[in-house]
Amino acid sequence: MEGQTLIYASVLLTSILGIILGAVALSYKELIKKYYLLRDEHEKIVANEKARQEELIKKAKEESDLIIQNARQKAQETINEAGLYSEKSKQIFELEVKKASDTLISNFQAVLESAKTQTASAYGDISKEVRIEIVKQIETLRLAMQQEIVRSQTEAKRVIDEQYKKIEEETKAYKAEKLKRVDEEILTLLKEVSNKAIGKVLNFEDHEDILLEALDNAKRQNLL
Amino acid sequence: MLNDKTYSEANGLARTRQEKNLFLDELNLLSDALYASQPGAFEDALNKQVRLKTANLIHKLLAGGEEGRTVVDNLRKFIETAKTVKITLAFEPREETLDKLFAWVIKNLGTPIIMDISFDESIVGGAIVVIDGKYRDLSLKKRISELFQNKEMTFNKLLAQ
Repeated sequence: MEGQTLIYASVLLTSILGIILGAVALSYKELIKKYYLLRDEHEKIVANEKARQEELIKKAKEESDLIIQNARQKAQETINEAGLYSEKSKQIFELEVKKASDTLISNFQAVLESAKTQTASAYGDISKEVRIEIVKQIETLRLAMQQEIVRSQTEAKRVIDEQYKKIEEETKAYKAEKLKRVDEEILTLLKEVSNKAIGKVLNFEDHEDILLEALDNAKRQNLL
Repeated sequence: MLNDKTYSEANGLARTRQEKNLFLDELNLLSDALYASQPGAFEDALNKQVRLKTANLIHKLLAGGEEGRTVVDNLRKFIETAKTVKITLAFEPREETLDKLFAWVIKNLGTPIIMDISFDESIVGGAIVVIDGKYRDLSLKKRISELFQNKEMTFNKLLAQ
C-alpha cells in the first residue's frame, strides 16, 4: 500500500517537473526571440544616429568653411586698411615695441644679475670646499709620495749595497786569482832568469866544481 | 886476468862511448892484422894504425907474456862488458874535465865503465846521471827549482802583504 503510494507520488512529481520544464523552455524561447528583436532595433538606431552625426559634421564643416572665408575676407580688408596708417602710428608702435623690449631686457638683466650673484656665491662656497679638499688630497698625496720616495731610496740603497758587496767579493776573488797567477809567472820568470844568468856566468872551473860537488853529494847520499 | 891493473888501464883509452868505439875499431884492425898472411902485419898495424896509447898498452900486455890474439880478445871482452853511465852535462867538457870526471867515475862507480856523455845547457850546471836503470838529477836547474819551491810560500806571503 505504502509502495503504491510512493509510486503514485513519484509519477505525480515527475509530471509536475515535466510541466515546469516545458514552461521554462517556452519562456526561454520567447526570451531569445525578444533578444533578437531588440538587437535589430538597436542596430537600426545606431545606424540612424551615425548617419545623423555625419550629416551634422558635414553641415558644421560647411558652416566653418563659410566662417573662415568670411574671416579671411575681413582680414584682408583690415590689412588693406592698416597700410593706410600714418608714419606716426608706426613710430608709436616702434616706440612701444622698444619700451617693451627695454623692459624685457631690464628684467632679464636683473634676473641674470641675481642668478649670477647666486651662482657666484654658490660657486664660491663650492670652490672653498673644493680647495680644502684639494689641499687635503695634495697633502695626502705628498705624504704618500714622500713615503714612496723614502721606501724607494731604501730599496735602491739595499740593492746598490748588495751589488756593491757582490762586486767587491768578485773583485777580491779576481784579484786573488790574478795575484796567484802573477806569483806563478814571477817565479817562473825568476827561475828562467836565474838559470840563464847562472849558466852564463859559470866558467869551466865553476862547472867542474859544481859537477864534482854534485856527484860527491850524490855518492854521500848513496844515490849513485 | 881481466881484473888486472893493466887491463884496467884500457878503460882509460875508452872513457867515453866515442872512445870505446874508436878503441874497438883499433882492436878490430889489430885482430885483422893477426890473421893477415903478411909477416909482421900485426906489429906494423900496432905501430902505424892505432893510437900510441893503445900501442903502448898492448906492448905492455905482450911483455907480460901473453899472445897478441889473447890480448886483443881480452881487451875487446873487457871493454864490451863494461857498464855504461849516461851523464848529461850543461857544458861541452874539455879534455881536462873529462879526465877529472872519469877519475871520479872509476873511483866511485868501479871499472870497467864507459861514460855516455851528452850536452844540454838548460840544466844550467851539475849533471843528470843514469846508471843501472837509476835516474839521478844532480843538475843546478833542479836545485834552483827546489829553492824556489821552498821559498814560494814565503814569496807569496810577501806579495800578499
